[in-house]
Amino acid sequence: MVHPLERKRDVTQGRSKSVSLRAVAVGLLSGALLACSGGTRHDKRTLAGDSHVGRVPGRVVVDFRDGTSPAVLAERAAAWGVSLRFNSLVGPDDGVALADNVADVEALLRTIRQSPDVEAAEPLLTYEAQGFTPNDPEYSKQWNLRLIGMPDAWEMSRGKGVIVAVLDTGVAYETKGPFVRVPDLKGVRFVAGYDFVHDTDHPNDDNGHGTHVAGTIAQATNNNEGVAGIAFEATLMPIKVLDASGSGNSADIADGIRWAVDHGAKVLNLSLGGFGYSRVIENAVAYARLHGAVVVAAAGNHGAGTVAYPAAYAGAIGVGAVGPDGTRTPYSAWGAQLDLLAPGGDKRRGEEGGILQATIARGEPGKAVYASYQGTSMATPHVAGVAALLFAAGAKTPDEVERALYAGASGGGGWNAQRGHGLLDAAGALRALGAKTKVDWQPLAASAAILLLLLLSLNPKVRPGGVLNVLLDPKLLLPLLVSSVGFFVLRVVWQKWVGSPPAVVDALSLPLPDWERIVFGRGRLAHPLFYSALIPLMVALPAVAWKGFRPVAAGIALGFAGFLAYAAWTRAPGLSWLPFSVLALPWLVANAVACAVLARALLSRREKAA
Amino acid sequence: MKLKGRVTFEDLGAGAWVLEAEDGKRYELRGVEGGKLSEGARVEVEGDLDAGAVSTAMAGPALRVKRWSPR
Repeated sequence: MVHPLERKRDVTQGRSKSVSLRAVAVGLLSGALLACSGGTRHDKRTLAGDSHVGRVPGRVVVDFRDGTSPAVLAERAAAWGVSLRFNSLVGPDDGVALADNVADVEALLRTIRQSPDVEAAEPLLTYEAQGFTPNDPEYSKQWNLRLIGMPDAWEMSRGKGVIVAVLDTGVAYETKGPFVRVPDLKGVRFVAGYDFVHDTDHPNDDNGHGTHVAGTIAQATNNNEGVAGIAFEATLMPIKVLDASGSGNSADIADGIRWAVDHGAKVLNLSLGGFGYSRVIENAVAYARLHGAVVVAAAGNHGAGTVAYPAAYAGAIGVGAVGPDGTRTPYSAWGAQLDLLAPGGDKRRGEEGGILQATIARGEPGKAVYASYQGTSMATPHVAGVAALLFAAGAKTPDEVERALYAGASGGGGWNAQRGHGLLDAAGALRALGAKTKVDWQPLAASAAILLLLLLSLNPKVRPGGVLNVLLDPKLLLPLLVSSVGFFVLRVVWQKWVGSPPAVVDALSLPLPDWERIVFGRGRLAHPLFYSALIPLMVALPAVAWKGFRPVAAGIALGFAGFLAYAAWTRAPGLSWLPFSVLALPWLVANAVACAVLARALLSRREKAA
Repeated sequence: MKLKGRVTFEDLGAGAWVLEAEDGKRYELRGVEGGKLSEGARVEVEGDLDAGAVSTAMAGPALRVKRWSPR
C-alpha cells in the first residue's frame, strides 16, 4: 500500500509535470504563431540598392591609428617590404593607407595585424551597383524605380514587344498642330491608338497627365536624356478617354478598354477612377481579362478604406500609393479591393518626393517639361510596366502575371486591406515567375501546435498517443496536409511533366478551404462557408458510426483549425460580405475553435477506454 | 443639392478643385473654371452629384456645379 503522503507527492509531481508540459505546449504554440507573424513585418528596402563586392588582387588597405605620421608609415613599409601610401588627403588624420603590388596578400595581412599601430587590415574591396544603371542624367532622382528593384529587373526583362495601352488624357507622342512629342519619348515604340473624346485617330495629350503616366511605363531610357521608364522596350498604345481637365465618362472608358484589347494590348493602364459603379465598365474589364489582357487601375486619392472604380472591379489590379519611405501615403485609398502598393509619391516633402517624368506643361500641349506628380495615378503605371516585363519574360495569362506580381511583392504574410499583397517588387515578380510553386507550411505548423494542445487537454486514459504517433499516422497526416497546405504535389508534378497547370489543377493543389475557387472562380475574397467548420463537420458525420474513418475526419478538422487560425492571425484573405475586424476575424477564430473541438472529440478514445 | 464649405486645389493626378463641405465630405468640383476660385475660399455651391464621372484626381465624388458664390 502506498503511504498517503507519498501518494500526495505523486499527485503533486504529476500535476507539476502536466503544468510544465502545458507550458511547453503554450511556448510551442506561441513560437508557431510568432513564426507566422514573421510574414507581417514590414520589409524595409534600402534606396541605395544592392551592391556587388569584389576583391582587388595584390592590394591591401591598412587602417592605422588615427594621427599616424608619414614617418611611421615609411618605417612600417620598409619593415614589411611593401610600398605604402595614404589613400587620400585625410590619410594622416584617419590613418587609411594602401599597399600595392603585394605578392602574398594573406601572409602580409597576418604580419600587419600583429603591429600595434594598426587598427584593421584587409584586402582592398570594390563596390559597384548591381544590375543595370541607365545613363539618363535625372535617373538619380527616380527613387521610385530603385524602390521597386528596377536595376535587377532590367537585367531580366525590359518589356520587349508587349503592347501597353495608356487610357488617359492622351500621350504627347507626335508633333502635329499645337502638339509636340516630348523629347524623352523619342525612340519609344508606339502603335496606333484612338481619341475617344474627340473621335479622331490622334490621341494627343492636352493635359499632361497621360504623357507622365506613359513615361513611367516606357520613357526613353539609357538615351543620355532626362529620366528612365520601367518597360522601355515595350510598345505604347495611347488611348484618349479623358478630356483636357482630366475627367471623362463611362462610355468612352468602356469603348477604350475594348478597342485596346481588340487591337492587341496585353496590359491596360487606367490611372483614373470614380465613385459610381458602372456595369458597362465592369463588363469591359471582364472582356479584357477574358481576352488575356491585364487591367491595372488606381485605387483612388480620397484616403479612405474604399477602393474607387474601376480598380474595385473583379479582374482589375487595384493599386495604392507609397511615398519614398515605402509606406502608404495619406491620400491613397485602401480596402477590400486593394491588390498592391507602388510608388505614387508624397510631395509633402517637396517636389523630389513626387514621381518625375517627361510630360507637357499643364494646359500647354506645345511645351515639353519634366514634372513631378503624385497620386495613385502615378503608382498604377509602375504595376503596368512590371506586368509588361512579366509578359515579355514569358508569362502567358493575366493570372500568371497577377500571381507573379503578388508572390514577388515585398512585405510578405499574404494579403491585407491596408497594403494588399505588399509593395511592388519588379525583380521579385520576375523571379517569382520563374520560381517553383511556393508552399505555405505555416498553417501546418499551426495545426501541429493545436494538435499538441488537444492531446495535452485529453485525459491520459483516452489520449491516443504522443504527438508524433498521431501526426505520422498516414490516415490522419494526408487529410491534414490536404486541408492545411494543399495537395501541392499535383501542381509540382503537372509543372514538371505537362507544363503550365490549368486553373483546375491550380485550385486542387490549394489547401482544401481554398477549393471554393473551383466553385466560385478566382476572387480576392474567400467564401465564409468554405472558411468555416462546415466541411470538417460534414466529413465527420460518417465517422460517428464508422470508427476507422475517425483519423481521416480528425486530420481534416485539425487542418482546418490550423488553416483558419493562421488566416485569422495574418488577417488574410478577407471574407465575402463580412467586414474584417467586426465579423470576419471573430468568424475565423470561432470556426477554428469549433474545428479544434471537433478534432479533439474525434481523437479521443473514450469509447475504447470505456 | 446646395453645399457650403471651403475650396482647395488638390495636387493629385492632374489636379482638381475640391470642396471640403460643412457636412464633412469632400467633393471634386466640375464645371467651375479654376481661375475663378482661390485657395481656401469659403463658398456656397449648388450642383448635382455625377455618379458616372471619372477623373485622374479621384479626390471624391464629382459635383457638377450649376451656381456658386463666395460667402
